[in-house]
Parts: sequence; C-alpha cells; structure tokens
Amino acid sequence: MCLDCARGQDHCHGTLLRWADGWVECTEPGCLPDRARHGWVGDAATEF
Amino acid sequence: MARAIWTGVLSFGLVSIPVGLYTAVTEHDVRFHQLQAGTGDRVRYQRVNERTGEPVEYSDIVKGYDLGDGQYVALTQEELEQVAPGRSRSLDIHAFVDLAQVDPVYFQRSYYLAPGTPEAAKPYALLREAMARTGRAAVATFVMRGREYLAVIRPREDVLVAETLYFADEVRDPREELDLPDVEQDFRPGEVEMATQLVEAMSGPWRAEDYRDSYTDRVRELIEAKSAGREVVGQAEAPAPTNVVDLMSALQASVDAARSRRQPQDAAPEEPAATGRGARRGGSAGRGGAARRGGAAGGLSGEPADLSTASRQELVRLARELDVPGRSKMSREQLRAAIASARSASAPPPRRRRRAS
Repeated sequence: MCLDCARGQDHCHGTLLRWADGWVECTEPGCLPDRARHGWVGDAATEF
Repeated sequence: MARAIWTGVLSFGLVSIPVGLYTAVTEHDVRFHQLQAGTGDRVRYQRVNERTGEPVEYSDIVKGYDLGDGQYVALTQEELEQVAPGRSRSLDIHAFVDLAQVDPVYFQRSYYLAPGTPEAAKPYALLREAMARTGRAAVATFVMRGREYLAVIRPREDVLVAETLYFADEVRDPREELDLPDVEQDFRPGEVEMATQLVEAMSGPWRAEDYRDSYTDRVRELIEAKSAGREVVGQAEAPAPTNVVDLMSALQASVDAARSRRQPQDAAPEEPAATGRGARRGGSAGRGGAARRGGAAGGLSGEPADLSTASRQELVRLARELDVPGRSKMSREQLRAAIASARSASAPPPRRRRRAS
C-alpha cells in the first residue's frame, strides 16, 4: 500500500521526467508536474 | 475541496500546529497527448519489468540504489521514512528572517498552509498575525516523498504561504555556467542616462492580471483553426537585435515611444460623470501602458471601438474597466460579447429627438 494513498494525500504515481533543457513532464497525462507531488523523479537525459 | 499534498505539524518553539500543505498554483498550458506521427495512435509510458517485459504495478515498485555489476540495494517507502522518524510529519521553523533578503532565484513553488484541525485555527492565526506585525518570514524544513525541503513561510492576507526554496548548492553560479561580458563597460556619454530614462518611462505598479500568456492563446487559436480547417496565419517575426552602433538612437526612439503612448490619456481631462461602474480609467502610467492603452479597442471615453481587432490584453483591460466578472478566464470571443453586453447595459437611454418647432 502506498503511504501517500493511506494518508489520503494529493500525489501522483507517475514518474516526473526532467529533461536536460529544464523541461519537466510527468508520465501520467494531464498531471501537474510538481516535484512535491511525485515519489518518482528521473533525469530523462541519463536514466531513460 | 482541495486535498493536501502533505499533512503534519508546524513546529516553532514548543508550539505545534497541525497543518496541511496545498498547491497554490496551477498551470494553464495547453495539454497535449503524445501521438505517433502520421497516426492517431496514443503513445503512453508504461513501467515494465526489463526481464519479463510484463507491466509492473506502482505498489510493487521499490527504490533500488545501483551498486554496480547488476547489484542493487532495495529500499521501501517505509524504510526511507524510518531514516529520520517524524521528520516527514513535521515542518520545523528554524528562524525568522526578512523575506526581502531571500534572492528570488531560490524560490521554487508556492503552497498554501492551512490549519489541519479546528483547534489549530487559533495558534495558526496567532502565528500569522505575529509574522504580519513583525514583517518576518519563517525559515522551515520538512521531509516529503523522500526529499528534504527548505521553505519560507509568510503571511498573505488570511493565509500562510510556504514557498519552497532551492538549497544553496542547487543554484548554479552564473560565472561558472555562462560566458558573461566584463562588468566594466565603456559607455558612451548619455547612454546610461538614456537607458535610465527608458526604464523610468516604462515603470509602473506591478499588477499580475495585466499580463497574459499570449503564446498559449495563439496555440489555442491554432488548434481551433486547424480543427475547423481554416488557414493558419503566422505571427509577425521577432524584432532583430539592436545594432550596438545604433544603441543610442534605439534608446531615444524607445523613450519617445513610451512617453507618447502615455501622453494622450495622462493629458486627457477627467470626464465629469465618470464615477462608479466603468468609470475607472486605464490604469496608472508605466509598463504595459502600450498594451493597456489606446489600442484597437479604444479607451474609456465611450467612443465606438472596434472590438473585432482588439487583442485579448486590450479586451481584458476594457472588461476590467467595465467590471466584467470572470474576465480573466474568458476567451477573446467571450470577452467581446461580455464587453458589448456591459456597454449596452451601462449606456444611457437613447435621447428623444426634439421636434422642430
């Protein structure tokens, strides 16, 4: 069980992708790309 | 009702206030889906097991630290929380500072901080009041989703706002990153004065609602045009960089233009009956004056204006002057209709013609 789900908090299960040029996107369509809402963050330039 | 992205206690001294952290901003970008070019097929991200190729559920994923040679240390969410027990439940205030001392380069994102329980309302209000009276902001840290955050908390009207900050080592040194010109430059006589005059001529109060993401408007227009099968017309090209030799004349022309834009309305006499609804004039002088004033949509003096050619910014200005509710979220078409409606509603009844005696 996800702890954030258990706490009823607003969060996203997608991965926030940070591109080398600073662009940030989430793998979940329509998601607000806020670091604080994500448990998974990846640097697209190096990890994908 | 908004859901908190984090809940815990705000601690300062021996006082602990249950609070929730809520997203304060949203982004109005046009949301696109990924399609494979030449098809209408949606493209999606999917987490798959590299060995089996099978999709993996979010709840089945743990964090793995790469030791090399295919060896990983796996860590669960619970184990990461236990690294600093309680830290993820506490927003600890370390000091109070003058917010003006914080360079805006450190600011990340804004969140509203609200009392977490009815009993928290009083100490929350007390802290907010004390900060408002002293003009101080609180420096605090907390842990959220596997990361420590630095934040400043400040009062804003009835609410406390937490601005997350970058840590010092996360802000790049421009001298290392950029090829900057020498600070000492040989300016020609009058250049600094002329540039200063231009800054002054374009100065004005900051009003967030005066600025509009016109690029997103254009993208929406492009989408509407393409979906309707209409021709898409490009925007004018950006101006060419100023030739250094012509810098002085470019500055002079800019100052003249800025002054002439503000001249007509500044000099215009007040209308005697200009009170109440629709009576406010086109803002104070300064930046944005060119955009806010005297455009295709006309001023406030009631002369006929061609709304069909007015930019959205001009329409918003007119709508503001006419107190049109919900104007900031309206499209150009909606603004035109609302302005026309407000004008007709506020127009005096038609005068009867006197019969010739």
